[in-house]
Amino acid sequence: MSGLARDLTALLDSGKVLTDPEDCHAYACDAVYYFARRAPEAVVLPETPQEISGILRYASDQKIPVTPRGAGTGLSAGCTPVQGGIVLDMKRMNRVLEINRGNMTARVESGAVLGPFQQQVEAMGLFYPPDPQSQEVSTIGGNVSTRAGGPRGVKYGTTAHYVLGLEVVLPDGEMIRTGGTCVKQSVGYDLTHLMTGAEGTLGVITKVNLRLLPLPPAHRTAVIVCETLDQAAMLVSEIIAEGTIPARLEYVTSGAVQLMNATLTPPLSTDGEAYLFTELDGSPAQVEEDTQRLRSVCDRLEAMELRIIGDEREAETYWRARRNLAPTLLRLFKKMIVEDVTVPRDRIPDFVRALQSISASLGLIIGIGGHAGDGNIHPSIMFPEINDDLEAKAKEAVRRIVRTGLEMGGTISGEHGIGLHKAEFLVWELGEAQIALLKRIKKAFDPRGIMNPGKIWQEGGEA
Amino acid sequence: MRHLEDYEDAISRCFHCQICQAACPVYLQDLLETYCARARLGLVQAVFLEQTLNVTPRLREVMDRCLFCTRCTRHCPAGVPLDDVFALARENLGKQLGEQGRDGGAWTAPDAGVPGPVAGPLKSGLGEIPAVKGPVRARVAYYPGCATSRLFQDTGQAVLRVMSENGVQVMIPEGLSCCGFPAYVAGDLHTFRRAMQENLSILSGLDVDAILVDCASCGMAFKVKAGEVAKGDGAMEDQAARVAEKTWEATDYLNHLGPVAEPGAVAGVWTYHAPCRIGWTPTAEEAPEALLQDIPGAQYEALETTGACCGAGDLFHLRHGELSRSIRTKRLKEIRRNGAHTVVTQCPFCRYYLQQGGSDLEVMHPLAFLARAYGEMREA
Repeated sequence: MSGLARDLTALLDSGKVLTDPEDCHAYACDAVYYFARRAPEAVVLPETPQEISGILRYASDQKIPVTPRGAGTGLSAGCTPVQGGIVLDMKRMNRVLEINRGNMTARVESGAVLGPFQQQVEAMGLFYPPDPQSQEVSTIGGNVSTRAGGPRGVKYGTTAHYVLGLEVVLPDGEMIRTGGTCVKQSVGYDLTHLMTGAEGTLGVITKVNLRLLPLPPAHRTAVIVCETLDQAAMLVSEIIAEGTIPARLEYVTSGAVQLMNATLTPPLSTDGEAYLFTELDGSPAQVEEDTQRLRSVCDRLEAMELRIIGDEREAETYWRARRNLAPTLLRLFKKMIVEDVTVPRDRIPDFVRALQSISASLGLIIGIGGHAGDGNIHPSIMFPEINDDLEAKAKEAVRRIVRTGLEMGGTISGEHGIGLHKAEFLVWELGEAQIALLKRIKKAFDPRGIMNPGKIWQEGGEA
Repeated sequence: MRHLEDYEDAISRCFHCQICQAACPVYLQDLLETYCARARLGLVQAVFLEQTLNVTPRLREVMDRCLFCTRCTRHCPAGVPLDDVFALARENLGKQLGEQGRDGGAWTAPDAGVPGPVAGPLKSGLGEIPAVKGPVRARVAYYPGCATSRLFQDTGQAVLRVMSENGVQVMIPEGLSCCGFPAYVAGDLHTFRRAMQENLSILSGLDVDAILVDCASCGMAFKVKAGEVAKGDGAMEDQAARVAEKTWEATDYLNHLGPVAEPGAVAGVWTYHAPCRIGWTPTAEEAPEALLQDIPGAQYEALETTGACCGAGDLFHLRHGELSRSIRTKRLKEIRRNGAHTVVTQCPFCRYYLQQGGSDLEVMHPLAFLARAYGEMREA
């Protein structure tokens, strides 16, 4: 047994410490598997904050990197243990501790899986909107750490908008509780929202207090077939400018629809260049009114088709197809780089045109399929094959996409986080002075530099 | 025969989206990522294709701790044929460790009363095939697998009875043997292929409208896996395609044909447990409710989750008792919450294992439930 394994099994049950290469291999990457891989030296499966506290004290003392991990579904290499060390698999701390109807809040352990939690909440007539497309398996702790969002961002925001309080184990083993369960809080620095989105670089989140909403009683899904990408982009701004904020408003191109049609009955016509998948929610009267407004905007802008999906089970097949779109694309392509650049909503038509010109000038396939309603349209570079030429062009495309997005007043990440994948562009958005400040904050929390080192900014900054 | 190398492209389609975590009964019990399909696939790639990791006892343990429920394959948005890769990985492992394939390879029938593969020709023991009532609407061959032939003859008798009531003329071909699926699962692909060759040569020559099975695994073997192991052998590929085209799960077939017999009353609450390996046919999961809901007095209560495993996995439960029991406990809890006394399912392993854990329940094939409704009607 290695020294590390021996030390860790002195801290917790041997069944919770894994050091075989087969187990470490399973924890070497997230969903940007092609980008950064590094197996940890040990995987630890804690079940209590006290166990985590013990591990962090030990790791601080020994200066061993610790990388917390939820379901490993991230799209930024945020939970990849790039400097080795210990991976803290949080998935066994998965209890839903309380759902409080009167206060409309919930308290969960950070390894709780999002999808089943949402089902539980909805069965009580309540609603927890954040819906990263990995919601079937992703953990709430991971969502909080990356400020994960999804289609519902357009109306309901992302995970960050629902976090009221946290329980955190700090790198020296100290446990703190930030925030609480009140919807109003005005006490000192907002550590709750500093930890939220910190990608596990400041401490380990063990419990989360979440805000809930009442479940809207009515839902209606519709698909709008658009002649051009440009028309779809115009429709997005117009629908919202008319006063309807859909619960979801997704942009899908015809190539993607051809793949999705395998699971859609009846299949969608494929003669449009772009498609908008949308869901309206609210009271039945509100949904009816919004549907009429949607019709009139579609008429005015001459959309090719507006298909209203009446049946809820049928509607779910559209959303499932949308959820599974990214992995489904690997049936056609060898690799894809998913970008997360987000622009203000009124710049979507400009951004889409810019993407088309980048794609044309570099001869690359750039898929556009994302959360159009909130400007988060995930330009994705598709690789029909993998070679150096395409890799170099893709690299250039990413730089141009990021620069274009920033010039339009956008941001380099809407919902995936920075991790390692986007670290090289951080300085473009934040500038040197702000990064230096982030590093000082990091040092105040984690003077020994053990928490998920190597992330957010490039090199340096750790102790 | 295909080799792991033939799957390199398919393996590289894995997006690492981790959605397979939601599908794997073993992962959901252990909550250790090593056991989710994505990680297993990564191990197969590293050990057998890239040679960056070695064959170790831990690898054997990881690859063995899989029920072969095939849910991951069904669930994978990128369409990675995970089950085929894992079967080949088990084959490679067996070779490198100098072992014979487990379970199926040795064809050792487990203890009396436990369903498992049977050596030699299947003896159906189902008695005489009842005469068709009314005009003949279809002619079918029935493949009663090992479990029905040896252990659960009531299922076979029910299939024969129900078909005759509905104008379906059934024949049981001579000389059939185990479909070989347990050997496939164990990574003994040669044994599986041999068993399949024998069966295909008989079944592919029949002039029938359909070939019926009562077991999800036998069905998967004929419908999907036969074609997979036939690749590269043109004649066998043709036979496999002909058989696959005609293969139906019996409940599904009757629902497709449309029943004509009127069922009598059966009192009680029943539910449907969908076997993991029923994924080869999109309609077999809807058939029991569609066929049985008209039985007077019988009340159907759907289970909350359609996608939960019983924990049996052929003979997996004999080697991984504790894990299997934990998986079964979750399923039984759900069944009891639902209030059903009768559970119907199209898998003899599910039937056996759920029955073992639930003496307060009765578990049977959907057509056995229908036969009961017919029986009471005719005898009254």
